[in-house]
Amino acid sequence: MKKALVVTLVLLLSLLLALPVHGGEVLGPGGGGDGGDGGDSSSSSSRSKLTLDNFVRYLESWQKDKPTEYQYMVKLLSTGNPESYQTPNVWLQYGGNQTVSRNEPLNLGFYVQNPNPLDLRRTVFVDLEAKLPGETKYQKLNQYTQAVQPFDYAEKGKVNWTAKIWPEFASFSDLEKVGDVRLRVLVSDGSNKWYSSASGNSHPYYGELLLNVTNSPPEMVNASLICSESPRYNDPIEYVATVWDPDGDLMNVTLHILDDKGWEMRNETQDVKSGQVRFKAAQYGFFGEPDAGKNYSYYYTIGDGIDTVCYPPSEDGNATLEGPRIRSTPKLWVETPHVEPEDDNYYYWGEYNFSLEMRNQEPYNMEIPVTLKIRTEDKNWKPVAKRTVLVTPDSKREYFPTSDAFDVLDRGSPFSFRFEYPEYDQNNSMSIDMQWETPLNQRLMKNGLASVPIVINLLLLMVLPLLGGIFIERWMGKGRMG
Amino acid sequence: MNPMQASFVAIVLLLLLGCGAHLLNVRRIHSRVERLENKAVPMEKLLPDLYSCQGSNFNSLVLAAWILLLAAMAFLYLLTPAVFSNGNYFMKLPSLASSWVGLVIFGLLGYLIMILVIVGGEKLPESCRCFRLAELYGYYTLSRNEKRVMIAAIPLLWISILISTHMATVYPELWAAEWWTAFLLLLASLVLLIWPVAKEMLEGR
Repeated sequence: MKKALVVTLVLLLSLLLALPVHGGEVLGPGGGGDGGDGGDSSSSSSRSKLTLDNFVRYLESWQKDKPTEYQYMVKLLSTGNPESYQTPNVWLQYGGNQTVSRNEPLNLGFYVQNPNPLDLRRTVFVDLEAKLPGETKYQKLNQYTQAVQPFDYAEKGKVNWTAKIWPEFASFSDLEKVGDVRLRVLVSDGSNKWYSSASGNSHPYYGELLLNVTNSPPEMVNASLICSESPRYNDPIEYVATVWDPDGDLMNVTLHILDDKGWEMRNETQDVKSGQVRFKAAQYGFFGEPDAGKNYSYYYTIGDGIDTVCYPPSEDGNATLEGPRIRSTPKLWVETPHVEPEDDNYYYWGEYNFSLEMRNQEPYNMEIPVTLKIRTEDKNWKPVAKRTVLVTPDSKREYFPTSDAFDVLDRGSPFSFRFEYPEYDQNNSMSIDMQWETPLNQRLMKNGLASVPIVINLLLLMVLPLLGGIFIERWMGKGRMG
Repeated sequence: MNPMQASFVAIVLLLLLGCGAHLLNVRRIHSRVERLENKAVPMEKLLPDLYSCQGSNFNSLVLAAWILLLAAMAFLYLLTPAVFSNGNYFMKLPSLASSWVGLVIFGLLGYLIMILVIVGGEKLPESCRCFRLAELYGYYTLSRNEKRVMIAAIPLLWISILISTHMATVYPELWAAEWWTAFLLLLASLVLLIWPVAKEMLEGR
């Protein structure tokens, strides 16, 4: 019986191959027909295709022209027994590590073993289901169901098998939570539905595949502040950093700006992909005039929806980056400090008229205390004069005459003088210095020998010893005769 | 050490020599008396007997000369930075030195030290009373002319102080001859004041 069946099939196939053209119809890949039941076979891709329509037409022509062969064919086809159909076995095929990162390519596929002969095989439909972290139910992962046609099997020994990769499922990069993910396969042959069996695991074939999916946190590098060393509050100030998420997630980058006491003053968030992130101070209005003269610091937090990291990294999470140091807003304009000595000989006892030009850059008058200090080889910025100055929007020279600026220890020394004020000037400084080229005179005494003070001093010096001698002799009586 | 500093050492040495000569003179007299008496004579008994008054006027003036001597030394060496650049009146007490009465106060400091030496000498024991400055010349025989010459030390010291003051007023324009003149006047005054001691040392052998 079996021998007859084999002979019949060989005869049938020979007949089909011997009839490339029949009744104007082409038998093969270029043939007409709806092709509804046609399909590729992974094991016989080089064979000609037999469409169902063609096959029906063949049978009809054989019924008319070759009734004997037709009857044999009917008999042959009727010997297929639906009772002997067996459900195919399906496994997940995965050769990788069971701990995977979200962005790691999975290369996940399935493997089907179909024990049925070709004539009994049915199209098998395969879906991938997963129980995601935190979920209690399985859900379908793939959008398009994979179909395995009866011809798709290869034959290896007595095993008909086929394997496919899920083309639309590359990684878990879209996973919102990380943890254990259970994968299984939902199989259907049109009549029945069943799942791959969890008990049938044998690497790399799994009935149920348990994967530990981990997240790679986002990273930040090259954070910097683009501005001058000491910018004004309205100068361009830009916080720039490069962020990168290994999983390719969209990141929320938050810039935290701290004031000089370490308190958070502002924070702003941008949703960005891997690349450069920029926060422009002017765009967000980070700094205003009241911030002038203050020092700030900042840090970033970067989240990918799962993990949040800080930059700069530190164990306690309190590390910050310095900047910007906002320049103080100048109110004063000072210039041309000058000193006019009473005597061109620059005696230390002489009167010196120190002065500078001042004006208020704001349109109002302002009273500020101004201190004059001097520096010589003996003194280091010794205050010598102080007075309150009315600074107006119009430039005005203010004078600080003094005769106590120097003493005898400063004679012969070069000197500098400095005006100090409690407001910032156009140089963002609170003082202005001047190194005077002419050193002080070496003269020791102010008065000449013939001056009244010296004469009085000398007279006293001459008379007092005589009085002393007389007084002592009177008191002791050492020279008294008798 | 520059010549000016060396001159200061010379003045101090001369004073010490005078002091040593005075001690030798007293001891020589003491040994002669003991030899004549042929017995030991305590110094405290001998010295009052040796002492003879030279007159109040002379004593007053010679004490004034000694007081002036210390002030003149201070003016010559310590008033300006010419000799001791750091150890001078204007560097150590700049405010006082620059004041209106700076000079007289500086002089008074010298006077005060000398007066303390004179008055403090009175506290010396009787056996050492020969070192009392107020009694110094009572152990020597001085003629009227010698006294007159010795008193000339006072105007010499006045001139020395005057020159020193002038040098301070024109400092740093220093004229070496002027300084050495002040020094010679000071030296001459000192020589006059220790002259009786030196003469006794030389003649009393």
